[in-house]
Amino acid sequence: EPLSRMDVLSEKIWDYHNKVSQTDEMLQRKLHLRDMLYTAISPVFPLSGLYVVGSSLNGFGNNSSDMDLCLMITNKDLDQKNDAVVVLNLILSTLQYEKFVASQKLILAKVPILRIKFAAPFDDITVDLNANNSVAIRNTHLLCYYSSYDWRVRPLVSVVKEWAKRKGINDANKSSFTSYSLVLMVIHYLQCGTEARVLPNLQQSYPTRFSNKVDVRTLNVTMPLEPVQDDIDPSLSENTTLGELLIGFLDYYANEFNYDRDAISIRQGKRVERAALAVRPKVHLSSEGEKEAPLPSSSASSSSVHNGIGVPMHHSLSNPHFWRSQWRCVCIEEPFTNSNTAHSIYDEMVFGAIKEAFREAHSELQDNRDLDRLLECEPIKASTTNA
Amino acid sequence: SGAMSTLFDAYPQYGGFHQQQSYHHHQPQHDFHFENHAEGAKRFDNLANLIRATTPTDPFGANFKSTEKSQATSPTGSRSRASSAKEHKQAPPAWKM
Repeated sequence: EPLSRMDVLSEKIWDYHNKVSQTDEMLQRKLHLRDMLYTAISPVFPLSGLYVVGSSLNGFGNNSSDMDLCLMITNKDLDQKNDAVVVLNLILSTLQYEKFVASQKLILAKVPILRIKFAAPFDDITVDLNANNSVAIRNTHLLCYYSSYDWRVRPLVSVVKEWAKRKGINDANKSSFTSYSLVLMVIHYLQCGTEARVLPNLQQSYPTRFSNKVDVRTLNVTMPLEPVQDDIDPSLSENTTLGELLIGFLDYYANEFNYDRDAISIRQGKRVERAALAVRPKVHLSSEGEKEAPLPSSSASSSSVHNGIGVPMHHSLSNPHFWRSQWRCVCIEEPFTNSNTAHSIYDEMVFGAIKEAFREAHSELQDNRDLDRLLECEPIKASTTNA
Repeated sequence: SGAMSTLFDAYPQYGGFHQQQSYHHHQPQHDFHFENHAEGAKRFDNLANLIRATTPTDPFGANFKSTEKSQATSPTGSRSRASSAKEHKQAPPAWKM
């Protein structure tokens, strides 16, 4: 009896995922649009590459996702504060003569982006273009392999994203989670929050494949993962149903995860003490998941930061106020840059409401096993001071 | 360094950047090393094939089969491994560009 109720929940999650996930047709349209943009941009940057990054290609996209693009022109770090803005302005002035482009807006964030809207029939797609932010390519690649590792990962993320959206906690501009942070939270839970591990630590198991040293042009995107010795026991992992994983996810972040003590590290495949991440300044490149999040202080440009400890850091990294605010509430380590992807949650009121939302959702789903009821939730009521 | 001066000369209206270094059309301060990413960006689209190859059509029905092995599995069977990144061995056909 309880088992069959669980299976109804699992099937509902699967059905919901199929309803919202990005279709092949949508991806084809996006790739076509990318090709049109590249045709317009390539006379100005002849050797460049226009990479599709983010949810459109990491496996976690839904059919209403925007398309994130990364224009690669050099393998060196491009200073995001100045040079990237010059590059994007050049593209803006080039695209203004294209009939298929309806409007453009340069958004000056830590990673500046050019937001492009289009004329019909592409008026339902918005493009966010960054200049040479190669971290976005690396984490798209890594997340795609996580999303493909086990069939339950993508439907789980689909439902978690939708729940967070309806709850009003999936909005970096309102001091809550980015979609990228939510995906990392799900992966972390599947790495170490379940009874039997569902996901391995891919960066540890396949260090050369997912190294941040390897040229993005040579990333392996066609070959499946060769079997390695890891601590995933398929026969154990598969005993947990999709529905149980969703309940477990809510339980983990409602009752098990200690926000004061713990930080999420996909790169290390485990919970780590947040003090270990927050105390010591790390390499702080800009990443895809952080764009447009409000920042308490101006960020370091990638070119001014060096690897390792004990080397001179950009002023904002050594500023203790910057570090306190960056890591205040929720700590989620970006797998390549080691910065905090959840730094936008620096409002204590919102943070409290988020924790309460997890507790409510968990007991609701635990008691009723009803996905529709979970998704018919009201947004959190918390006034943000920094929205 | 000639490439960049050509690029920026075409758009003199954006010479306002780097004001502290006083931008001059024939003295570009950008020491860019252009690398060819055109093919790399196209190749990256192949991640779409990884996603498709690891998506089960019907994980709860009797028709749920591995892409490689033809093992029909029950909902409680070995469904998760049936289509995982570890098991689709063939490089899939190149995605449309």
